[in-house]
Amino acid sequence: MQNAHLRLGLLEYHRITEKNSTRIRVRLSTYIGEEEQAHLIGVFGNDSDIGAITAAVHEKANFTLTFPDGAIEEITLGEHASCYRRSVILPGRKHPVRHLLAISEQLHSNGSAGRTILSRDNPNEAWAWLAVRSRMIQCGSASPPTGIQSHNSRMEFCDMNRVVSTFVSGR
Amino acid sequence: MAPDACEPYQVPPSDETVLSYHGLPYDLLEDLLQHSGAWKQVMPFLAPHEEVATGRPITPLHGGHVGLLCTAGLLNGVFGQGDDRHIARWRSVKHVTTFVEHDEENEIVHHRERWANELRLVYADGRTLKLTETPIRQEEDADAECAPAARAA
Repeated sequence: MQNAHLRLGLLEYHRITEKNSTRIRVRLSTYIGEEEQAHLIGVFGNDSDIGAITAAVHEKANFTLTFPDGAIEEITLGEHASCYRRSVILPGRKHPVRHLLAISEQLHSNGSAGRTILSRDNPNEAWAWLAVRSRMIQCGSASPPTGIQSHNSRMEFCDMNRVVSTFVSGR
Repeated sequence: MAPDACEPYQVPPSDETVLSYHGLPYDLLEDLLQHSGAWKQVMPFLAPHEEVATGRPITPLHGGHVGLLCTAGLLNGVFGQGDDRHIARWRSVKHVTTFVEHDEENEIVHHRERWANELRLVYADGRTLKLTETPIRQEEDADAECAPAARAA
């Protein structure tokens, strides 16, 4: 896709010590969070920047997140966050780009600690969660609540929201 | 032309200037990041896929087999027809009974743990049901309940 810079956010980490002041900015490609609690951040950059962000995540540091629309928010991943780093090789470039995905403790135990975090506000995804958790896929009956075509694969839930909320809160 | 006017200066032609961008190619990166190995590690937390057992048993299952499979969660799924169409899901629940024993001047607190299985049903019309091995107790004498360690981790 084109114009990716219009869809990327900016993650900034600023650390001030007695002698030094460090400011690191990396581009943010993915974000899931609620207010100041971030659940997933996906950033990329060079090796030193990503290494510093990783260390900051483990130190439970606060970050300044600038959304593509210009909105600014202070976020943190909280305690026991997990980091996953990989390299992305770009053709024609000597050094690979480092990619970091950091997830919060809540997301790490997603769906098993009485709460399910959806990556999108999408009823289809909520249905998929419900289907997977209840193993309807095994029975070949996993269909989203909308766009159902076949009667055989249809789950006749008259109130999908009620079922999902029961599923999420009932564990 | 006025005497104090400057003669127009003819800008000499030059070669074409090439604008080059030496930063990260965001468009390309946006596509490549979707296939990053980090996503493969994180994706199970966003869209978990449970291991399911499939296949046909060699011999017919008797009641004991079915009971074991149910309590192990291997027979979760969708059952029934019409109004009885429902999702069934088994899980293990740990019950902790706490009682205090007084021994002269000492007070000994005992925690007795017990595992039980329960079945949760979600019907097609939105009804939900929880079946346990014992009737649901009143709140005042209910034991503490917590998720198994594997789920709470």
